[in-house]
Amino acid sequence: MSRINAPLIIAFGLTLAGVVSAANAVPIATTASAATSVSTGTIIAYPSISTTGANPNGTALTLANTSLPQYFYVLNSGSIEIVSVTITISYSSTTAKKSFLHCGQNVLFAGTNTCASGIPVTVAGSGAVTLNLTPGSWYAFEIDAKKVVTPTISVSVSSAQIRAAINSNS
Amino acid sequence: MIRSIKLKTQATRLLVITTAALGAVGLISSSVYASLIATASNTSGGSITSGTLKLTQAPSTVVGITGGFATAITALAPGDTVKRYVDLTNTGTLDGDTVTLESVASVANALTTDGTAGLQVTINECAVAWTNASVCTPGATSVLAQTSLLAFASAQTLNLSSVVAGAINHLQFVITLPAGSEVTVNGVLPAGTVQGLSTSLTWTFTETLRTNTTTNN
Repeated sequence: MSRINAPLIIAFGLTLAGVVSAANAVPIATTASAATSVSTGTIIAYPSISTTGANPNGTALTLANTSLPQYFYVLNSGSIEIVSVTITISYSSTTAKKSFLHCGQNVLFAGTNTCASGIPVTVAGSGAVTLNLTPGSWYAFEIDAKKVVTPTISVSVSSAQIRAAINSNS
Repeated sequence: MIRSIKLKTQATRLLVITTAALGAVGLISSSVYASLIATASNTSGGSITSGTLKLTQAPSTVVGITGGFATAITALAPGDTVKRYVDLTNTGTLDGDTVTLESVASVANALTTDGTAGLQVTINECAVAWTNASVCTPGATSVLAQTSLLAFASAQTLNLSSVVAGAINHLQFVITLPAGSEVTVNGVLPAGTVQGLSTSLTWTFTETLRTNTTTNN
């Protein structure tokens, strides 16, 4: 008796499951879009000894140990415009003159305290420096510490120091 | 011996009689049913058609905002927002019920896996076409509050104004990269950054059929 009924019960159960499954197959309609390619830009600034210096990959720039005016550059190798950078300069002497100068975008110093064009801007000391650092551009800086020092320069940029947010509509 | 033979004979007779009786009953009943079959058919109407459930999407046709999903979003900076306009239409003959939206990314990275710093999506709807100045004259309604792209790995239910057959939903997608607080030091991007990344997103709308109906007429 049990040998006959067992397969019948299984078959009945499978049939019932099929009916339930069919009942759950709710009709749907779908539509898929074309792919939207999304890419983000980069905010990259760093100090360098030249206008074409490579990314130091995190290493601060250390200038020569001298009492003469020294020059360094801040480069934007990213793809997003930067409107200010935070420059931190440490000196080997606490009595060194902390202020420093910079010229305009892509303008070299022609001599001490003299830009090739325009007037140098004085920065009081370490901290945020307002610039217009478009991608691929640079700024020249002059340090004249009036003492024999070894300046070490670190440059950082936060996402709050970039151009105004763009709200595009297309 | 003789008694045994008699019993066998009687049993044989009984079997023959029973068989004959069953055969007779079968013949009679069969002929009776055959003679009682009746049919009736309708002579008009009876036409049956089934409806369709279809959904299509297309970029807005308003000049200046025809980018749709196919136009690339490039060089997005933290804090930036891009708006895209898509018309979602129920082109079938059946009303829909629930519409959901999923997004699949070709490449998984912080844009798609970071629910906080990654891309955020808000969807609004206008009863008429959006203007190219992002204006909805009758006033926009919210279809989906700001939701991370991460969440779109699962279907998100959209609060559309109408899903009946023929309905057109004029949608505005607001795609934002949160401002965040990323700091680059001496040329090195922070760990887990959302900068310098790329992916491709495929958006899939799914609409279910309205509740089944039972009519009585």
